[in-house]
Amino acid sequence: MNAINSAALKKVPGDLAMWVFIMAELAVFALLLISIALAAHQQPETFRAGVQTLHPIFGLLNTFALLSGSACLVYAVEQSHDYPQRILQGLFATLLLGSVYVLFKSIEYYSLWQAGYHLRSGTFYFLYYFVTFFHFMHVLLGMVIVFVVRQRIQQGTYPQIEDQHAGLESAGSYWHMVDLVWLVLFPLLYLVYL
Amino acid sequence: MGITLIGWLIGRSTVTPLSNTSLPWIIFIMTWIKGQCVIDYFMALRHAPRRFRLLISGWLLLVLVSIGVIISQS
Repeated sequence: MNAINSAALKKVPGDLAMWVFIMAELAVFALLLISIALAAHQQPETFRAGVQTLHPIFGLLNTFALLSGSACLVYAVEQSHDYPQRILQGLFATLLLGSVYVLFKSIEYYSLWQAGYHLRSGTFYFLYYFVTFFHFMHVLLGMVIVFVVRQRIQQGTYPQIEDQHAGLESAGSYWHMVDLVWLVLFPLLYLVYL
Repeated sequence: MGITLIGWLIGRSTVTPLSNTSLPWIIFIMTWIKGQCVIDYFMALRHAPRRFRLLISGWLLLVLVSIGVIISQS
């Protein structure tokens, strides 16, 4: 690799391996999101009826929670060279907002389940549970990554400040990817098919 | 967040049947603006190599246009 290429790669935030992982995830999510649209195209009435049973406020609040969590992570990354305490606060806020998402999504799943809507209740519910739960698992993984990075910073186990910064950026990139996917999933499931 | 709220209000307050193709497109354009902001400012890819940034921005555009086209056909 020549000097110009390595200088260019340095501008990519975080670890390049994380970006390879992110791109693989984005490819899978692209197929799932387009599958929802194709299924809705084939069964518009089923989808319209299904969307009516969802909780729009939870969808909106979850979007706010994920976007705010991303903003807190950006704040933590920006402080990474100067203020360790602020990094920990930013990461804690991200974890808190991630927990809000997990709580609201769990309430939504529980109320739908109680109302009798299961994976076998039709194409809409199968895709809704499958895709949103897949995304939900990614939020949980994002929280685990943020938690581990926070623990390492708190314990001072990063050998150098540059490693700490790269760890923060990698965690941030993953979290923002999860956020980006939700930004497409939210209107697709909650708004477009009304 | 303001764009999200406006999109939500448009989507919820007005009944957007599948035959009406303009409202879903408006919602998807708003989604694209938000997504591009996430890519540029949260992911901090505005200073990344152009091809790398285009890869992620292209993903967003491809997914939204594909969904939009499929919905328009309904």
